[in-house]
Amino acid sequence: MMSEVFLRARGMLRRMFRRRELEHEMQAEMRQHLDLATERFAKRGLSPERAREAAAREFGSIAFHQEEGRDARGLRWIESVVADLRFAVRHFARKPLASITIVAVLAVGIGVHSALFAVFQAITQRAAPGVESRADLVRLRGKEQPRRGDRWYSRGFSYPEFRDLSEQRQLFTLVAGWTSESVTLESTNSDDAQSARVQFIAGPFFETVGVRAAVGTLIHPSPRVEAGDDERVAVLSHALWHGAFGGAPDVVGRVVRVNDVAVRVIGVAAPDFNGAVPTPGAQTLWMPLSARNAVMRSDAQSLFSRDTSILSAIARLAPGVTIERADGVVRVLAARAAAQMAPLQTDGMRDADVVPLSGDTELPADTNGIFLVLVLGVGAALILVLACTNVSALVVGAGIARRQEITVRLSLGASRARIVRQLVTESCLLAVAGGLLGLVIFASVTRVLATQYPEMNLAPDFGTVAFTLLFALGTGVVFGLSPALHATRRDLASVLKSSSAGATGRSRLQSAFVVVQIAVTQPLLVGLCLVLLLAIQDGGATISEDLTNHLIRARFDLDRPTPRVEEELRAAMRDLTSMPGVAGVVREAVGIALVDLTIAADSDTGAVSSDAPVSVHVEATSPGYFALLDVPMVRGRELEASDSSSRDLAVVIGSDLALRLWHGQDPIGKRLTQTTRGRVLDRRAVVVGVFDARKQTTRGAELRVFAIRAGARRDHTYLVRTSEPAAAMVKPLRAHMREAMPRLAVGQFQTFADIIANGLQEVRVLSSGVTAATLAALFLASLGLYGVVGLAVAQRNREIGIRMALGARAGEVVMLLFRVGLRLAVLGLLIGLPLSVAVLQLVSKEIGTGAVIGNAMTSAPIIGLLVAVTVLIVAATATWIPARRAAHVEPMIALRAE
Amino acid sequence: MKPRSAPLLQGTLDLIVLQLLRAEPTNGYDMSLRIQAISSDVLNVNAGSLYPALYRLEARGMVQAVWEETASGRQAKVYSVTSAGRKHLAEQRESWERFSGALGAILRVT
Repeated sequence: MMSEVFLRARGMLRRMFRRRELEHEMQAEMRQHLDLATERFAKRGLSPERAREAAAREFGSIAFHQEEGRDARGLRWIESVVADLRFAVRHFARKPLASITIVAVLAVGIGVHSALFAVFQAITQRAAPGVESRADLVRLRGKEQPRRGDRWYSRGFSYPEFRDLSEQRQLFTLVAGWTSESVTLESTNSDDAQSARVQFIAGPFFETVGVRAAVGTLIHPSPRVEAGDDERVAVLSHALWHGAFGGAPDVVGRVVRVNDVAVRVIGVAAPDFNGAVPTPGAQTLWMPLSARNAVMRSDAQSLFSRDTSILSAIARLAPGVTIERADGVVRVLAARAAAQMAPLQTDGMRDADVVPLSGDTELPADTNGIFLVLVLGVGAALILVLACTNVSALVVGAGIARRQEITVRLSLGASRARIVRQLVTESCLLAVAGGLLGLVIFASVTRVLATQYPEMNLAPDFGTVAFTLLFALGTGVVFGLSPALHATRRDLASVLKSSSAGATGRSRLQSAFVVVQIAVTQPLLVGLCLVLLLAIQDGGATISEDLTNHLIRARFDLDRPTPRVEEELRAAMRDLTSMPGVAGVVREAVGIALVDLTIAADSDTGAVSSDAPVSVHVEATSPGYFALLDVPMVRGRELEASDSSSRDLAVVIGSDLALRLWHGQDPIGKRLTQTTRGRVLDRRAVVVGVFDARKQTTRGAELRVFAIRAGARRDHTYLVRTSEPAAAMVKPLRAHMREAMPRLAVGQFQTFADIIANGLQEVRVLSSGVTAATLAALFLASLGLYGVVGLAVAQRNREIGIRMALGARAGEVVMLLFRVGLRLAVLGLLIGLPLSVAVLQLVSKEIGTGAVIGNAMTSAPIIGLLVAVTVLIVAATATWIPARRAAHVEPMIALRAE
Repeated sequence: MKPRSAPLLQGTLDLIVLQLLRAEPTNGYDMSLRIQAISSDVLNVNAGSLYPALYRLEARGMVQAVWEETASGRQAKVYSVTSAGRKHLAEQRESWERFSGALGAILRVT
């Protein structure tokens, strides 16, 4: 049985690859037969000529037998496929523009779709770059619910809880944890300090994620951290090694200063790896958890407290253990651990779970992120739909244009199947060419994205590409087939006689394609523009350029600071004011919550506002914040320290919020109340001041209320206004603080110019991505239009010829065709209108509240108009080119076809 | 006068070729002579139609071929039956015998 299969397979391969040789063999064999037969007849006494004739008679028709022989070998189809391909290539060479258009549409569609899909996958399914992709790699997540029924937020594990997890040997083969801190990094050979991130790791971290060392060795922390441990070694990320050390090969053994602590570099991690979960920014180094006390100046005992919840954890499941089983045990452990922790003040609860270490594993599930993923997914699908619609329109058009050619072949006796196969071969050829070019586009787009988003794993995925390619191929075949079947069913005579009759049905289908396409493109463009606008407004222009160059943000990460340390820090920051070049110091505002506010029942009239509640960010700030930022009060006064203890909570609101709530009335003394549960504002708020919302604060452009918050604050971020250029002040400030508070971690000093530049970088990447997608959509739509009008021209060649012969001017012909194209475009725009409105509503519902979305919504009609005008212009251009060409048709050429 | 030649039944040529090759591997020319001799010129077969049959059987893995030197010193393509061919032949022969037996019985009875 095996040998039979083998023989047949070998024979097939031989027949496919040794076609020429087998052909030769066959002819030799038959020639030999004839020679032998001739000899036989000659021996019987026939003359050589007679003998040859007799042999030939006996043999029968050589050509017939050879053809039969080829058939028997199964070679005929190969030969005809080769002929089809050759014919297809010749056909495309004759109509290069049409062929290039189809290939380009396919390529853009496939390339952009695959790239978007790759991003989609990276966000939803893939592990972080450099992390080994394996099914048994899981994340253990601590989670906490501030209130019963509320969202789950992420909570770190305490070290003792992490130890308990590590001991579950029947569940996990490896368990590792880490905690991230911002630090200042100084390499010894340059006195320039930079901010970096340290992940203090516990357990076999690198082994768990499957990361190897690029240089030197990796950290293998001792399984148990004891109180006296202090291993001051570090592993650099590959990017940090290149960025801060120029990729020096002798980096191993160097001593660097991390928050002023000498640390020895022992190795560099493999390229791309920047943490077990996607971590933006590349300046990462890893140190053992035991070094954390020294580097972060924290209390040596705090690590062993069950209330120091700082660790994130990952693990490898033991063979045969399912995620469900691990989850069950981890939840029991979490419940046990929760009982030993300081109780929550609310009715919330603590828990933990186990999820695969892939995609976004962060809590709370980010609704903005989900929306972005949705946009990506829908966008990718739409691009593919657009491309396929286009390809089908173009292929159908090409099929119609060739009806006459097909008919001639049919009347010459070609079988229907043969012609259908010819057309399908052509479609496949185009699809393959488009697919290959699409791969190139896909590769270059993902390469650019990967440099911009190192935290995303965008490695090419064979499955995605294959799927897209097959999809495009399928489209080509299906739509190549449909006109082929139609064309071959035609009554030969009528088609031979006239090329324009009966074409209306097919061109109506094509027109429908274009209308659908424009109807889909419009909301796509509107949505993309809106996302772009939001991104620019959100991260872009905040404060004046002059201010950004004279403002420094100083951040200190204090780990469970004592009141004394905090007081020392406050004093040190106050002292900064006297430093030369410093104009003022104030504590940075910090967001507390996003709440729904409404106008409170007026104590005088008892009236309750009928307005819908407004979502507003509540910010804790300190006196002098607005003055430092040169944000003037248009009404009332700024906050004062005494406001924290007033009966009603004194707040300052933006003029935009004032306008929204009180429509131009004086809001001073008016009261606000929170409508939702979970009292962030524990009392009613009274407006004491209104700041000019056209001037930006450091807190973004959304609607905000600012208040002084009594009691301790856990953040330690200050704003330093300088009279000298801020960039030059960073070093003296750091030196000053180091001297003033030697026991404190140095802290991060960043100028606002840098902060905004970083933000803008992201905006730039996002907007360039969105712009690219928008342009791709527009490109596809215009090609579709172009194809349809081109087809209309081809179909009306005869009519145009007659018109021209009867004296129509070129301009009139252009207008005639122009109207066809524009009518389709306008129809598409009208149909797309409700879709666009739906997209706008979706965007406004899903993301953002307050000023940004307000602004975006007010500009929505303008965006809509702009998009409509753009689509019309593109449509006009796409129509104009073939229309002009048609007007130059020589009347005689068009009429000769009669 | 030559005997009336009968048209060849569909698929019969394959059966004849396999049967002949089972006895002894041979080349196309010799086989054509043997078919003529055995069938006593009853079967009307062009010598040439033997070759498509051989190629078809080869493609289906029933026979295999090698170029060999013949007794006369020429290079010739010599065919032989494979085990699959033998199996196929056995099946076909059985069904042919059943068919001809039934047909013969009918012709004798009526």
